[in-house]
Amino acid sequence: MTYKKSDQDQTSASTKVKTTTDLESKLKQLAASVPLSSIGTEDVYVDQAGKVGVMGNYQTVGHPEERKDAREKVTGEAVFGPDVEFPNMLYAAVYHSPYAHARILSYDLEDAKAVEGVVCVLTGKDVPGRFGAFIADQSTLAVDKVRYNGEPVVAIAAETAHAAKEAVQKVKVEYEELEAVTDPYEAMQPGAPLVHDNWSGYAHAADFTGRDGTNLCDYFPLRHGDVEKGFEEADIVVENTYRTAGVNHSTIELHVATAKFDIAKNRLTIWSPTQSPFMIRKQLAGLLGLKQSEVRIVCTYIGGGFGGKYEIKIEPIVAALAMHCQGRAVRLVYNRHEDYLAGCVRGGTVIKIKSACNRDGKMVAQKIENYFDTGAYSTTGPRINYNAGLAAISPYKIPNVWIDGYTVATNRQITSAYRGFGMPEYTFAFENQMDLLADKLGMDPYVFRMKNIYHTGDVSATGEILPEVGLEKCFKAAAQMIGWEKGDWRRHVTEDGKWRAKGMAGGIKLTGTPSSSSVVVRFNDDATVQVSQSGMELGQGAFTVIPQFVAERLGIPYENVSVVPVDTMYTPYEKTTTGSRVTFHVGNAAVRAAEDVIDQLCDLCAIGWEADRESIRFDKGVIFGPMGKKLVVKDIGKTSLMKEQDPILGRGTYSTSDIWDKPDPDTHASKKPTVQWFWAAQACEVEVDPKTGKIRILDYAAAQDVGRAINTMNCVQQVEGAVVMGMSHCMLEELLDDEQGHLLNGNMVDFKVATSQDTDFDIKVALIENPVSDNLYGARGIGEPPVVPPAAAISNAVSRACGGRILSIPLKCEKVLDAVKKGPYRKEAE
Amino acid sequence: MLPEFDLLIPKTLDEALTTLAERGNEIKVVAGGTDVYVSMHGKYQSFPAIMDIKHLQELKEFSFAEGKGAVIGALTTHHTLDRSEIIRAHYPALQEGASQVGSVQIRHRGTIGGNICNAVPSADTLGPLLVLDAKAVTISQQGRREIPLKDFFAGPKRTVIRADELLEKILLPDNESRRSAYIKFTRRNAMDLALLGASASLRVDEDGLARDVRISLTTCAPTPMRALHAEQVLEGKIPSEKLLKEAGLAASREASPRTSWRCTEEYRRENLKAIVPRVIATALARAREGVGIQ
Repeated sequence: MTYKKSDQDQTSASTKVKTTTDLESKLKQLAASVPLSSIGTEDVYVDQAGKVGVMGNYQTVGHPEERKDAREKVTGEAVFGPDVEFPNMLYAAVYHSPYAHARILSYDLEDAKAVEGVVCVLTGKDVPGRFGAFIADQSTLAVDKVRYNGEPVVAIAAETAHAAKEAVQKVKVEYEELEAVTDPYEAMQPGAPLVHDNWSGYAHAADFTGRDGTNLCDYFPLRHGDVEKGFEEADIVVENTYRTAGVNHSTIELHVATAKFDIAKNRLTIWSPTQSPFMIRKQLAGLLGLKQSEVRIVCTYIGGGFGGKYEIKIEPIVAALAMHCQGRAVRLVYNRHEDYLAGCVRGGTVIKIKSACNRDGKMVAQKIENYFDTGAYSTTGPRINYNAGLAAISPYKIPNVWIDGYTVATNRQITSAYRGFGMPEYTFAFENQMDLLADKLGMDPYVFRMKNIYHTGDVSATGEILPEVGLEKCFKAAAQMIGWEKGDWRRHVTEDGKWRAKGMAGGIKLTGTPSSSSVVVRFNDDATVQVSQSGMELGQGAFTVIPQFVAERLGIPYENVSVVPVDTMYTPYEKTTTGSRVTFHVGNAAVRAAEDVIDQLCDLCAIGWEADRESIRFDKGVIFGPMGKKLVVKDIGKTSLMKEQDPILGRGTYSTSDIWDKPDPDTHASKKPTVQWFWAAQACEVEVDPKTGKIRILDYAAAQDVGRAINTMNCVQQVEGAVVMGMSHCMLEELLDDEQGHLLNGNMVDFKVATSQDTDFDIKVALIENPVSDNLYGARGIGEPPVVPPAAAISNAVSRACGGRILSIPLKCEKVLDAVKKGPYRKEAE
Repeated sequence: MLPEFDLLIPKTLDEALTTLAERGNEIKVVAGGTDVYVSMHGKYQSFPAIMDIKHLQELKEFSFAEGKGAVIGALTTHHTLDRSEIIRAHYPALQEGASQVGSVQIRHRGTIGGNICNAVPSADTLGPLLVLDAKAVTISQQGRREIPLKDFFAGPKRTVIRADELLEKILLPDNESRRSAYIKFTRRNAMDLALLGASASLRVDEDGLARDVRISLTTCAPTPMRALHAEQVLEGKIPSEKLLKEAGLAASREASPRTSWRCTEEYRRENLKAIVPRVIATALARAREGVGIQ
């Protein structure tokens, strides 16, 4: 089924739905050949506006091509981090801090060293240097002090994994325990224990905004209009404090790395499932005093990343061991408990928010103070604060906006990137506020949102003229799919006494800007193509869509194009695989590389046909010359055009430095803070058991502005996966610690990630095609944006069903029951 | 990492019992290993020796006879109980318990005997077995002992089984017209421990009165417990909605759940008021219709 919205029908809330046999037959064919129950044709809606994509004239773009990594992964042939093995390899193990905050007084390592097979035992004293993307506050192994429960203190390499682990058990460290601080808001109060004495004592980025003598390592202000005046003049003001819990990525593949130092080459090689090979290469080179060319990062497949494999993590530990055991490979694989302790997390937040609107339903002002718990080290916290702070303007046009983002150190697990990068948290807060305002107005929350959403050409709160905003279409599609227009979004009671309601939320997110990408394409003389680039395949489909770009531009079959494994020694620079950036950025570089190939093919035709170069032109996979000369590119192998001519090597690069308008540090005003915005809207229906507080999701609708769906199936899967992940954050996941900062639930029984039994509801997906102009095919990022709205949409539905607002996630049954008991319908629950 | 231990794999029951008589105090008996090995990996427990009994055919009896009831060998897996038509028809609470233990893999591996001997308050088969008037039969070189399950638990993770004994089998009386039900309340819908559980078993006589009422609670005390006050609320009465609610209140009062970081006592008591009436209602509907799980 195709979601069609004709140009004449712009204002109607109920949009027409039309079937397009093209897409339907393609998907049916797909469903028949691949038993993927998730791809029902009724799930996919594509806006017709651009008349392209599946409905356009493209031969591979917009088609649900089979994933390039699918067969490798289902047969077990794919190599993941823990599969890396070498002859004569050493096995590493780590002794982690049992305390969240303590001074290290002494080490006793004699018994550990005495374990048979132990080759090397290192402490922080043996591994100098500190690293960090913004503040170099982190050491490979703790020095003088431990700052979180699980911090690596001693690293051991041994002939067997068993010996290494046994030695860890024999490590003795004497500590003096210090008072811990575990809440980001409390950590900002005067007199709170200090996690770090002085931020400025560490090497740091030039635009560093930490405050010495406090736990604040980064501050982000955004100012637009006059919020105080706005609150004075507004008819309705709502003020609340929201909290989101810390969550762990819980990837199937644990944190893992293997390192080997080759003496003659003076080269360190790391095998790692990293999302950021070039970033970790640079950081490791700096840390170890090596040249970048002396550090080689070989990327394995990533068994789940979600941001958790973005930063350097255990690579410095294996690197340090490898430098001490030269010539031998050293592998370290965390176990699940270690991964919870010393992997990384999305930190919790405390969000204070005040929102105001007028009787006519127009937003007037919004002020947000967000305290991000970045854990014991700053890591990428400042970047989360910045990216999310800019997007915290919300999907709604508000004339007066004030945002203060605080990145605060605590004695908890260290934070890193997590799919959504701060936006699920902000969105949970401001979308709950939208529902509260709508209720005070007595207005349908959908109508209220539609009155305030950004449209193409609107000026944003940072002063940007927003291009290609797909919000209206997203909201309409979500409302239509969930059946919002029927008006039964309101609370109602079922025959068996359950309470039901619907909820919705919008989504906004940006991609980190500026950044850069590069692609090198080798065109073989049988018209097959090998693409070298360093965007990582972490399940999102990078290795599938990049070939689609190249194949489409060259006009050759998708099957002809493959991606080579990512290795910093061979593949060209890529910033990172984060921020939903690869499809768009690498896609742009890939198109340019393909165009470079076309240029060279035309040169060869001119030579082969002895024709004037000016007379040669390329169109959709065919090169035309004078006097009816013609070459179908995919058939070049049947000719001798390439024989002993200059080999064809296409090069394409793309960066966004030129379009970026660096935001003002005091107000973050910017005419172009990001190369592209992501837009989404989601809605759901829930059922609450008012006697136990148990929640069931009955139905879910997710509409995503994808620009152009390069691979329809990948897009649908990305949205479905994101909804499930967001649902899990909203309903189940929560890292718990005690007052001293000890992690209580570092295992998969007690840290509850949703199972298939928790996703027993229909997820209807609308892919809204709203092509962006900066990409030849109009692609927009898709990885993170759909994980932004779920917590907000589900909590809005649950709070509406209960009749009382729940101000924190996860929505545990205790909180739901409490909301029922304090709500206006409590008598019905008795 | 598992600590080092002696692994003993007896070929016959006799051999197992002989070894246990000699050095039972230093031996941990393992069937599926789904609890013991996990605990050892987590360094919570270690033992000088492990006796793996999962191959002992003598502990795999599984039969049912009208009028006599069921004999369930200690090595019967949760999967077998889950898929058994007999269990489904006559002892639906046990089917509901066994079907919700851990994951599919764990249900294929884990056994009812292990679930009983591990004796945690959240064990999914124990609440159902209590309302089914189960008896445990232990065996040693000294002979057999028949112990009502309600007397089998000595405290959290402790039972009255001796170091020289093995749990041989579970006896369930033929419940005839009695029917049962189990509700497991969890935060997530699979692969979770019971935050709370409630089981009920009863029959309805010719006058419509509830008879032989048994109610048990899971994760509500240091051991799986019977809710005797709640049973008395219904025994010999016509079960009305009001009475079911009263039974829920009684169960909530007599339970002794604790507050931990996993859940508060207050919430657990509130929840019991909801799930106890529901589990009784389900058992009642089955008893009235004279059938098990459909």
